[in-house]
Amino acid sequence: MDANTLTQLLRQDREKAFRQLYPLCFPGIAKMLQRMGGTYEDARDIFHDSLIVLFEKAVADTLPDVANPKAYLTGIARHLWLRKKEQQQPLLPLENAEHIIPVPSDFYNPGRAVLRTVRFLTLAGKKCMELLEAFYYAQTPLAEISRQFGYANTRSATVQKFKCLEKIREQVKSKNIQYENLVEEIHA
Amino acid sequence: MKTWWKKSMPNSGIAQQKLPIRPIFAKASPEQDATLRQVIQVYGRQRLRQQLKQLHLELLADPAMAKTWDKIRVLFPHDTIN
Repeated sequence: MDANTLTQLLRQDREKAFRQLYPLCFPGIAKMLQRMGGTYEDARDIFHDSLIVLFEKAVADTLPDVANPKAYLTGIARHLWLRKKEQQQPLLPLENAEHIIPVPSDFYNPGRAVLRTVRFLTLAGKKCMELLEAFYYAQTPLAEISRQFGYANTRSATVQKFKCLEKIREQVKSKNIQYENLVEEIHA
Repeated sequence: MKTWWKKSMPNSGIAQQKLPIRPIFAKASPEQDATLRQVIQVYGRQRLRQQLKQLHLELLADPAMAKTWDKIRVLFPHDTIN
């Protein structure tokens, strides 16, 4: 599977892509992490996080034209593992591999305030958050969102998305949360 | 537009990902908009992690994946493979 095919598959049907990548990549990545001192649970979690990074790169169209996506995914896993180990033991020097494949620096540190806000917004409406996630995070086309969420057409999906944003705005207002404070907390 | 995005989140690494800069809140400031985008991203990752855990359990029970799990059991003989 080349990088273009993988990007298309991840964007159109990520579950199918993950199913194909599992037998192809998980044993190799698990072997690498076992050699680096990881447990089975570490291997599983790092593999999942690597798939998430890969997916985000495909959605953002920043997946490089690599000849071997399996090696690329292994590189992401190695990077994430080094990042995790470095956070646990800050004095552990990072290897040069850290700089080869860019992984979002906030991947393991979204911050407590962000997580609190996520919980708060989830309470405001799970379906709304799922809709916004599909649109802004997964960048699912509106036609596909309409199908997934059972809307009559893309216009209905757009209206619903607008209502969801309004709902979140109302929630923030009703709880007397100043948006500026939220921003300060998150970036603190 | 790209300038504020990079400026507002200098160390997040998100700028590297060339995320589209379509505003979420039409009337919000770029910083407010970036905050909500970040929250949605964290939410998206959490959901994706849950979906992957579910898929993992499903594949553990898939006979077509038996060889894969055998390899994993050899690698981690002392761990429970679940």
